[in-house]
Amino acid sequence: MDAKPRLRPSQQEIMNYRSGLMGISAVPGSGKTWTLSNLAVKLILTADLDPDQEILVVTFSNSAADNFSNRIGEQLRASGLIEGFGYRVRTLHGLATDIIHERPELVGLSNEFSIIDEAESNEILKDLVDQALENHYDFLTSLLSEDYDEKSLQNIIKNKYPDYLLKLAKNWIKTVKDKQITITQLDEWLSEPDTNPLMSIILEIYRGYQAALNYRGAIDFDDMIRYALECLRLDGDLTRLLRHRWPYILEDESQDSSKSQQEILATLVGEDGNWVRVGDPNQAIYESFTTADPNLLKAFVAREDVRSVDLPVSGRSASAIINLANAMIDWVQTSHPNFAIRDALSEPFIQPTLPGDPQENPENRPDSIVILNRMMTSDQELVFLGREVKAWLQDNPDSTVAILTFLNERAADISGYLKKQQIEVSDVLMRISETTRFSAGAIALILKSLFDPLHSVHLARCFEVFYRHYQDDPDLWLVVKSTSQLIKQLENTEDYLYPLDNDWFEELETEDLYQNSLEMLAAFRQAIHRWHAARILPLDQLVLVIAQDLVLDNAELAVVHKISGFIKTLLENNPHWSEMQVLDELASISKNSRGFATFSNMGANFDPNNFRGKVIVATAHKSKGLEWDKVFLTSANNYDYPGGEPNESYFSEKRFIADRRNLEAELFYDLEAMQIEHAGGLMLRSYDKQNSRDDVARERLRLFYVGITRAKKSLTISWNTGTFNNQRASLPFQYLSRLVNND
Amino acid sequence: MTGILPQTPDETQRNTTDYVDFPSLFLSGPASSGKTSASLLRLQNILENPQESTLILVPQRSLAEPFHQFLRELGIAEGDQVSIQTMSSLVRRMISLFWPIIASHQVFEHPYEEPRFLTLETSQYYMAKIVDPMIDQGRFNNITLPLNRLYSQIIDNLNKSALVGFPHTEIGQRLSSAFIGEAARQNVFSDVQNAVDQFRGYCLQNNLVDYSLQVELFCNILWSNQTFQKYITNQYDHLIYDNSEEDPPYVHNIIAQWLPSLKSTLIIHDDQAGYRSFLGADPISSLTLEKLCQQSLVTTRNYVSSEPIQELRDCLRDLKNCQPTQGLIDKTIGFPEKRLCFFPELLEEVTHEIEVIRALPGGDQKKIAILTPYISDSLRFSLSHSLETIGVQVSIQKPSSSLTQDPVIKTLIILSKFAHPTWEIRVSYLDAAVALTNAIEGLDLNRAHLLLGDFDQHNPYLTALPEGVPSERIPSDLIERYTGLRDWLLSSDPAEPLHSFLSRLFGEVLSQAGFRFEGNTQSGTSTAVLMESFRKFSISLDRSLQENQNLASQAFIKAIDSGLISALYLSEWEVQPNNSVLIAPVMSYLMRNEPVDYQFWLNIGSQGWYERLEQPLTHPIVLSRNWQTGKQWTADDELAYNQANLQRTISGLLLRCREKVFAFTSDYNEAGVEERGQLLTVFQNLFRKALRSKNGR
Repeated sequence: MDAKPRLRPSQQEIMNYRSGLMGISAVPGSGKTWTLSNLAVKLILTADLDPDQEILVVTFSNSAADNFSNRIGEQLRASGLIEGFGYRVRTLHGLATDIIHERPELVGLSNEFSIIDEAESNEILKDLVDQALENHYDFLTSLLSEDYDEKSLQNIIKNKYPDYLLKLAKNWIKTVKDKQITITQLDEWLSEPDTNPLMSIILEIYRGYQAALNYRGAIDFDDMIRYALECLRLDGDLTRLLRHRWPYILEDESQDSSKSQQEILATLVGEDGNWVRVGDPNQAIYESFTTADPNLLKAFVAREDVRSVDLPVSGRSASAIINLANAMIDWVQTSHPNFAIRDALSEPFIQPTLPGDPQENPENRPDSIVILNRMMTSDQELVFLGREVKAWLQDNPDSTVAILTFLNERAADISGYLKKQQIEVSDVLMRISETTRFSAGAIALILKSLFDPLHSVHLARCFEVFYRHYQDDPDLWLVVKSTSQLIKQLENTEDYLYPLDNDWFEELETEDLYQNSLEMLAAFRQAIHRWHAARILPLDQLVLVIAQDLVLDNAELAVVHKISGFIKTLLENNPHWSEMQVLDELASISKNSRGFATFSNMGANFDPNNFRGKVIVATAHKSKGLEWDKVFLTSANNYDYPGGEPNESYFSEKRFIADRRNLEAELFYDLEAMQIEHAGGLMLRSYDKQNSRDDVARERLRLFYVGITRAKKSLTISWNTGTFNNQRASLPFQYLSRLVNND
Repeated sequence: MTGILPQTPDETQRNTTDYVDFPSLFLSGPASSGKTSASLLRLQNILENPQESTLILVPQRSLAEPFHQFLRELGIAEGDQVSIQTMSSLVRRMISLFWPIIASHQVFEHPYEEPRFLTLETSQYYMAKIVDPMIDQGRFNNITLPLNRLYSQIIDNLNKSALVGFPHTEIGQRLSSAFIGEAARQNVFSDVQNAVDQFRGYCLQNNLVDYSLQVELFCNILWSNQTFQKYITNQYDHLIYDNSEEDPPYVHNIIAQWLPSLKSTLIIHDDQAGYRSFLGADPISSLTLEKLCQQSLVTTRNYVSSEPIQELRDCLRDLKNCQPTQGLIDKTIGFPEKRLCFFPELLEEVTHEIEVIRALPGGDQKKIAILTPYISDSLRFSLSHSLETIGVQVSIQKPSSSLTQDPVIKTLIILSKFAHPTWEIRVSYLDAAVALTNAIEGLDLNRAHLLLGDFDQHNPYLTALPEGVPSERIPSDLIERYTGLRDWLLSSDPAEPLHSFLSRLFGEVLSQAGFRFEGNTQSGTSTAVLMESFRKFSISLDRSLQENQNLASQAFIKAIDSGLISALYLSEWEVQPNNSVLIAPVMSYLMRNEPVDYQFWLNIGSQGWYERLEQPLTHPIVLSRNWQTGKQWTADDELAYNQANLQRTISGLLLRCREKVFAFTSDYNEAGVEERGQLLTVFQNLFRKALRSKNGR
């Protein structure tokens, strides 16, 4: 094995772990993944595991799982052991699938069940919501604000309201599943007088949704978790077997676990098991769109039977930035004007590394912290960012830079503006993997030409895709482009593809063409003939045949396989779709309008170092786990970062809903009340809009904190007055500005 | 002596051949120990007496191949002295023949009308008629399963009750009592019972005889009938029953009762098999036949595997106590040197290894099998494509093929739709163009598009030539053929039965000069398959539909389109050419019983190597005779079942391997999923042990 890495005292304490429960509170940049993978390796090497036992490492995302696998694999190889043996790294959803696969019939599944992605789930819900709107038109429209004229109202009902209801239904179904409430229970509860009539309608949607999943032999992501739990609960033998299989569980990013997810792990650990949980509750930023709850980790760490360890030392940021982040924690805990949310951030504070640490903190510099307390419109902020980024890159051409914002739309605006200013920008973090985009798009282009072989423009594009691997060679690419122009001008494509008397190809031979051009045309024609012959095959197989003729690397080929499977599922679920409809779906993947589960090895393992000298534009949510030399945290106004103050507007309180009610929060409240009452308890607090506002405010404070702690050397924070020019600087911004600028 | 007989039989084999001294013999032993070869010698001896007849009984057709080959070599036609049957084919034939005996028992509502036999697909067609309304009423709502699987699993339950021999009315209760899930989910078994009862009632009302009824009628009525007994015992003097462990208990019962009346009997039992247990095979029940035979012999010698492979097999059978050496691993297992991340890399590596083998002296004559739990269409395609690029001939074994995967059949179906616009069945533009190019000689896809013009896929009607297409773009002979085909299709009589329509379409148009089926024998076979498929479908239909051939044809085509009828015919048995690479699902390969020199095991991380498939509505073990009624099925049982299954599979494969196994896995499988099944763990343990012994630890 390599020389032993030098450990910080807090890391050493973790490495001394032998057994039992341990809860680790880590700060940003403290090397928790590194520490946890080292611990995993140590346990693999030293714990007396049976051949059928594994150390189970559970992570939140696919990219983190790959990261762990690679690190553990490398260290085991270095120790002369077999990679991939004695451990298993899974995301929570992957783990849930493994568990279900042990006993699928317990939850009414076959072992070939499929998992639908969010886009497909939305498609199903969309139809059901439209149906509900039709069936309960009077009631549902009675929830709308009366402040609109008839025309505007109809416009809302047609365009905005279905999306709103879809999101409402989606989140409610997610919660119901996480709370493991069954449809039978809901039927019973809602049959009582004075229940929420909207909930009855949403239940109807839920019922239709599950029926649609059953019909497809599919489950969604939330089903995975609850079904896994159900399997464990029902079959004691299964739980016992799995406890034996995984005697140690190491869990990363525990702050992002939901109650049911935690319950799965707790069940697997059992009463005397071994469980190490690492997380940073201050980085819990997914509550709004998942069922994650950072308080669960806090409660775990506080348990008496849990050894609590902090990982407070971080070498990521200059001390000025660390101090700013710590000041924010302190201010939130002690001085935030909204008392209710003072628990949003918690200790430990970040400590810089000691001299001689392998990762010493960057030096402070005059521009380590810039907090621009200037009222700017959105456009003015763009100009400011353009100027500042340009200046930074001139002085630090080899550095990494990110501009972080809250909304996707704002990220797109910033990116667009910078591009216009001739600044090199990448919004790769905001998009699905490049490989998927390329392959789906390429295949869509080829299929288009096969479906409509008479169209010369399609054929020319297909030609370019066929030779797209020449793109890196300017000379060859020039030949490809000019030859493609020739194809485009073809009057009748059959004169080239299937010539009779007038062979276009022969005519070309007499013309003054680039060398290679004719060869390219001949090879392409052969491929087209092969593809035409393969049109007898189902589309998914046709795609694979095409792929064999394209020069693709392995990752791209793997994606083609995935796309082929995707087409097959599409056709199975929509047997009456025409090929053109399938093509539209493929095109939409490549245009990024439809998410597509990609291989985690690609794209997800984003490394800012590969983008030195360019600007990464992303939302703060996407920046988690990453770091840049320079970070611009933008749009820090009270719309993006509300503090629970009066006169703030909230995304979930729509103007078109009467009295700006937060229907989603009301539904959740009523659901919780019903569950508590039917368990024999009493719901003590009454519904208050402020509670949900506080939840949002807490999460945004953490998001602000995440944004700050992404910066290594220099951080600039700015704010703007928002779309309607009526927003103020957010509370954390105001505080930090006072602190730094003394204003 | 013929080529497939052992040159120097060992003692057990010699004894087996002696049907006079060993008239009632139970022969057991592992695969590749020369049992079937010995039975051929015995058959040869029996055949010396031309007055006596022999029944060769096998559990499935693929296992009959050595007997067919042997008879071919001897120049003896099947049927005279020797009859080769599966019990299900015998049962079906006998029911047809002795229907009057069954009719006299008044089981059916119209006993004196002809019975209508159902295939698996036509059974599904009728099951759908019962289950669909139940689903509309909210039944089966806790089950997440595509509809086709739902129908097939209910039918499977019904079949199991007959094969195992318990009343079909107990199905729901048996499944339910072993199930430990929640009460709400348990209700589904009463839905299953309800569907089974309704289905059986419907069959009895309408003279429909599905597989379960065939078995029940045979066992309960025919077999106990004196006339029938007399007939069947007079029919055969000798019985050779191979692979008895792959048959369900009812077959063993029949054989047990048949034994005393036969002049000689040889029962061959593979004592480490039972691969068809998901279909009701019961090796334990097969063993009960041993006691009823007068003699019993055991074979032990392996005639196929090299010594190292045998050593590897012994080691894997008791991995805990085995100390494999690195030398043994190197000799017997090929494992990719680099970690394979994605599936295409795996395919590339497999191709590379095969190329290396082929380049060895004599390598091009080596037999190779590529085995994986499931063969998806894409795997089949990619692998054959990549092997063909290195000049390797591929032979693919799939248990069944879908009708629409055959280009000829697909073309015939589309042309039938063109001829019947009143069916209002959609034809996509793409399919229409492909069908025309497949039918008309010389027509390319571009010109097919030109001919179709603005074809409306919802109203599939072939127009006369579209306007505005200059004649120089489509040669006149193509126009002539198109017009000929179109006119023929439009002039056909909608009331004509589909099989007759297809026969005429083939004979009068497509096999004529100018059309692609001319001189293509395969197209004739495919046409016949489609006609036969329709005929079987049609005779199972209600009388009203049978009388209206247009509706019957429409129902058939719709059933194909919806996937309800997908695998109506078994692909013809192919003998693997010596220089080809066989690609086969593991289970089909094992049932093919043909050894190879090298085996490639793909996707060793998959759970498909051992897990049972048909879930959640049926259960091969709970519904078997070996399950204690009322006991609950838990993860412990599942684990034990999987381990036994895996052990059986590994052992069975190695018994059929001469030189080396190549084990492959990629981090992400074909579908992009990470798999960590037990077979992977077995290999990892084996390597770890070898590494330890190498390092002296």
